[in-house]
Amino acid sequence: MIVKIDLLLYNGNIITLEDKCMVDWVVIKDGKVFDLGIGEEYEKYLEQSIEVIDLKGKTLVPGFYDSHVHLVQTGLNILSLDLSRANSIEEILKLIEEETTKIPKGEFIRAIRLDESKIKEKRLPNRYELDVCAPNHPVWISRVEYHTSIVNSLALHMLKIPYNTDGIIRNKNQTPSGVLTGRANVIVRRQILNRFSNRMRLKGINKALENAIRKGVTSLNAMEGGFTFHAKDAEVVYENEGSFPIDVTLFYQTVNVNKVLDKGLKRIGGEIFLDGSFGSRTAALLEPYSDDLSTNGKLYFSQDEINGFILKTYENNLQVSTHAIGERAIEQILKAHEYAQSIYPRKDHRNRIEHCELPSIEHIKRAKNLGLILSMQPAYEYYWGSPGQMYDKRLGEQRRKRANPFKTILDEGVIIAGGSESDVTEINPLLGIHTAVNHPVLEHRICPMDALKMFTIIGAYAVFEERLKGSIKKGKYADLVILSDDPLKIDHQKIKDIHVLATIKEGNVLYESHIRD
Amino acid sequence: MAKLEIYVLGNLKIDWENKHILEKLSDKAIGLFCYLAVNKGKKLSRDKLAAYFWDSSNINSARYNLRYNLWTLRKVIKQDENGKDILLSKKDICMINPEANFYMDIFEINDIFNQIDEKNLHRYKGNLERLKKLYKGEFLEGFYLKKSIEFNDWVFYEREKFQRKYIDILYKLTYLYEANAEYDKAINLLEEMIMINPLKEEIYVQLIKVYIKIGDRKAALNQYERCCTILREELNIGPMEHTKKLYEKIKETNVEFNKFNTLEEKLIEHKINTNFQIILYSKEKFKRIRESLSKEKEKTIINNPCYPLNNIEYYWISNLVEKIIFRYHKKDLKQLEDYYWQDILRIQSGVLRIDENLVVKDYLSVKTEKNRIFNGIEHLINELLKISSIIILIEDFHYMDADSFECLKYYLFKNQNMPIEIILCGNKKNKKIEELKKYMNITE
Repeated sequence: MIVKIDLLLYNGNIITLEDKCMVDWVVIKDGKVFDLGIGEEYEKYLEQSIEVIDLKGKTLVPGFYDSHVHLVQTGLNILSLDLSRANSIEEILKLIEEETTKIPKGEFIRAIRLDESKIKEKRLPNRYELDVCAPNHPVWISRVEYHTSIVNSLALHMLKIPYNTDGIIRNKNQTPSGVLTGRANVIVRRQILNRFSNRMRLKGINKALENAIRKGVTSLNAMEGGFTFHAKDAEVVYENEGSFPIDVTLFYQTVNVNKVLDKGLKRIGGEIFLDGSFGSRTAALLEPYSDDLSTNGKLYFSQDEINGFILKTYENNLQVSTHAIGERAIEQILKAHEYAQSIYPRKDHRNRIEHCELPSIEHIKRAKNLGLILSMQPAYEYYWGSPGQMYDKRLGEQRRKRANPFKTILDEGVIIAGGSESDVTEINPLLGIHTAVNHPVLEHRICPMDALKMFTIIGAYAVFEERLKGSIKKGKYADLVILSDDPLKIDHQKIKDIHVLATIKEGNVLYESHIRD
Repeated sequence: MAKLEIYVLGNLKIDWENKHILEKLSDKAIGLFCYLAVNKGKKLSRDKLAAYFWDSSNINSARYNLRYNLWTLRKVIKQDENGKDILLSKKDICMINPEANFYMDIFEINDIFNQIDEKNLHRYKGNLERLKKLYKGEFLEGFYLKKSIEFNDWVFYEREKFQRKYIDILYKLTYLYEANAEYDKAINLLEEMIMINPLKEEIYVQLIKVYIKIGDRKAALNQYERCCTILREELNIGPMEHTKKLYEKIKETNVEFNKFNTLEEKLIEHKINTNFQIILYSKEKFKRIRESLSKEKEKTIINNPCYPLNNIEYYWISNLVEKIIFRYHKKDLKQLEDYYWQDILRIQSGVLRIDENLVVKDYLSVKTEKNRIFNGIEHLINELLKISSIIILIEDFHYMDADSFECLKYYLFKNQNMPIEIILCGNKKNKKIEELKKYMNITE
């Protein structure tokens, strides 16, 4: 019987991440790997193949996983006006005025990443200034950390603000100035994000996924809903989970266990913030911040509260993931898992800690004993990890050197799933692999093979998908990426310069660039 | 001589001689008129007004615009019922005649509000309820004038002032409802307060306390979960210590109260001496009576038989509501507050004939939902009894479904002096009839 083959890829440098690590051809049928091998054997499939690609020695690896993406926010931010490069109020107003020509009258103009410390006047624009440049559009500007909103009069008029709430900054005549912080900001954010249609969210998601595909991503974990986000984000991913071009696994960011159980989800959490971030000096450190001795960050849960939540996830057999960055938050989440496991000992739960940037060796050992997976973002080190960068300023040299100790973690037998936390850093697994290999601190560097696994087979394992995806093996889904160079052999410093030439999802070429020239 | 009515809370409405006139006026003219009306009796400088509504950099053009809009206003709004000019305009000033007689919702609000003596709040329940009814939405909701900075600031100022007043009214009413054990009404108000500001923990705490009072432990626990979820998802904080303690206390109390059982237990020892009549006839006599009542003019006769459908929850009450909707005028039915209709809507979609905008808003525990439905039915019947006495004919009473029977009992227990008669026929040995006999005097 002649078997019909969908795609044959041959003459390649194929890294399977299986026992037989290197092959040079692979055959795909019905979205899965049908056969693979070395040498001329592929020729028997040539005539039966609908599509044939000569890899011409290029490298083929399993499709990348990004284990931590805020997909909807990434998408909405792509559709928003970016003010991060504005240098003055005048420039901000000009950018907004330009935006009014692109957006229908009456619809919200959303601008993001405004940082008044970087603009000439060192202040935020006011409501009246925004009225002048956009009289027919409600305008909503989010400060860089999302904790402050600035709106114009039309937006203020359209929103229903409870005036008895805190955070409404006022003019001299006691009317709202348009700047909203604290609870007022939360309410306004909630109302505006509520107004954004699902169609708009989907438009953003598709743009974000388009970018992800260009970077070789075939599966990602979407961390949606909850604090600083919006429940509608999670709902839209939940409702469309099966219809995206690549696989999107939802982590519903809520502490309401019943909510996820009712939806039939197997996992909960993501950014359940036990603490904040180094950037905002809210990550819970043991010692004060180096550039602000008055604070050592914040824990947002009491130990009882987090124990109660984690225990409930164990009782209901849910995979749970929480955000913990500083030592005190990591300690807190480890204690919560120890408490839950003392009551409900569970194997293969694959519970995760997101970020885990400053663990001690003792923390790592305890994480190993508890069977926890660490979901980490190596690209942080690329942007913040070198001397003089943000880690150095906030944490000082000693602690900077302890951050993201990938090598120690792997040596202790704990596994790491790699992610970007898009759009904190962009979706780009090759940059993640590059930084894990080129960690600014020598002793934390890992080999390219381990780094590649973080973004492939370990990503799959972290969501119970390693039997289906994450490596190139007969019967597994044909999620593949063609690269311009071999990340295992290229000069380590050049890994980030490798190009994705094609992204293949279940045998379908979703993106390609010059692979058939 | 004409009548002028202005409603600025919620969607703006201006009626002149009982006709809407908004479409006859430009937005600026409407804004100008509202501003003048709210400031009734105040002399307002023409130049200031011109600058308030139009570009002050070109004062001549602004003055012209003001003049033109005042003229269009005067063309539509002339003299009040007593023949007095409503709009007064002189060379430098213009104003609304302080002696002009017209209605404005916020004037009524201010009048009632000023009458309330905080120390004797219980005496002002009716006033507060009227105030609540008057606040149909935010001040000049949906009304915005582009490029009129000062006018819009004034709107924001007034909006805040009236919103604060409204929240104050809600707090006071909730307090009174709780004190009078009108818990369903208190719950409705607290839910409304949550809609206004979902981040106020104390409102959830109050809701929890009300549910404890009505014995709905499960609903109380659900409210705690709801509060925790919203605080965590929106503010990333946990509830306050005393809220947690309250929760622990409810958790420890493992007793589930049942309002209906408690009520029945209390009543079982004492037969109620009711003013209303319940008459039990044989089937034949029942039919003859029904025939003779068809000529009755003074009382409203509602014939709502039972069918062998006792597995369908609420079917009898649902049919009763349907018959009421067909029998009564819409304007009479509209006298019942929306929130009661919302609860009745849970069992009879025909309620949408009265107001198609009604929706079932919240997801309730079975017990709370039952309580709300019963309460809604009770208020509906009592509202209709204001129009005329009612006779309800119930054939084959023994087929009545359990929920409808409970609802009927609930009504009968709670309303002992209402002008209502119930004429029944059915199997006398049936448990439901025996149970009724236990509590009430039934004429056979």
